Amino acid sequence: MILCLVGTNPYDFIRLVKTVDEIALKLDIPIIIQTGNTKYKPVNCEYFSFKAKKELNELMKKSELVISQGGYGSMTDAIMLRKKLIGVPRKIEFKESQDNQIELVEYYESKGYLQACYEIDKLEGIVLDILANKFIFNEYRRETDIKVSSIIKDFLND
Amino acid sequence: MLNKLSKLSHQHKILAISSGGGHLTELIHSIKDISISREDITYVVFKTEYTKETLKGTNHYFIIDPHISKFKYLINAIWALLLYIRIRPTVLISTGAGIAIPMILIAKRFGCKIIFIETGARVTSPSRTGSFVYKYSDLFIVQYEPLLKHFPNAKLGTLL
Repeated sequence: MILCLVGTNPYDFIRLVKTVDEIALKLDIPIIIQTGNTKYKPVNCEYFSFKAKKELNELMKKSELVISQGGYGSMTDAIMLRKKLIGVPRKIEFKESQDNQIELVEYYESKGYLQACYEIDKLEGIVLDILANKFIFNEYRRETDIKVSSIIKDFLND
Repeated sequence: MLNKLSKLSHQHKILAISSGGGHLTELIHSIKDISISREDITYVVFKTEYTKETLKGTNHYFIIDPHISKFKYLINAIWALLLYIRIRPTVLISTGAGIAIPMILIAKRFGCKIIFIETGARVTSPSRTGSFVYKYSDLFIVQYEPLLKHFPNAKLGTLL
């Protein structure tokens, strides 16, 4: 199964949902799309708008590939679960987001955690290459061992 | 140790504020290990299906998403003041986004400690909210090393 995520961003991300819906026609593997606030409704695959995080994680665990918007939440979840991942940044110029998602996608790409898709017409090729095992994904490596919660605990104890 | 923990839980009242989605997920992770009674943590977030579901069973209040409307932003600021008076926190923790700014300024004014965590979505360039809030923060945390250049007094923590 392939899982496609657009996150909770209030803006439409039709580019991604529509393209994945079209790719679904050409693949034998089922695709499920989380459409979030995107109004376009897929016709070739299952979809839902939102799910609680736990359920979403269960779904992700069962997926062999995750195609995600360039948002922090969905991408890091997929990386932590060691999923094959494609990151598709939303673009401000298409009114898909208020923030630039390219920075994070580029960074994770440089670490080998994901394959980036900057032009939506390249997505199908990337999906096929990944399904044919043409890429190697790196495991996530922490940048530090200090947890944010420990920093906060220390601060509060002072 | 035990003494210290119980003291901690008596001392602090946390107001945790963020927008919805990834910011809230990070916020929850950042405080889940802190030994403080759940009653002493109050969340203030956007109202979405996701946040309603995620915050079931916690103390929480919803605020409207102003997007780019200045009028709604003003309403949010007034609402923030009312909520602040009601909650009376000793510590404010936020992961952004811009929605947290009025509450942070109000809290700072009343002597509340400010903890700001720059979102994991920011790797090399600081967020606008982060840059603005930096000087008001008593503790500022980043999740990627490259950001320490912009925030020299920040602490680096591992990804939430």
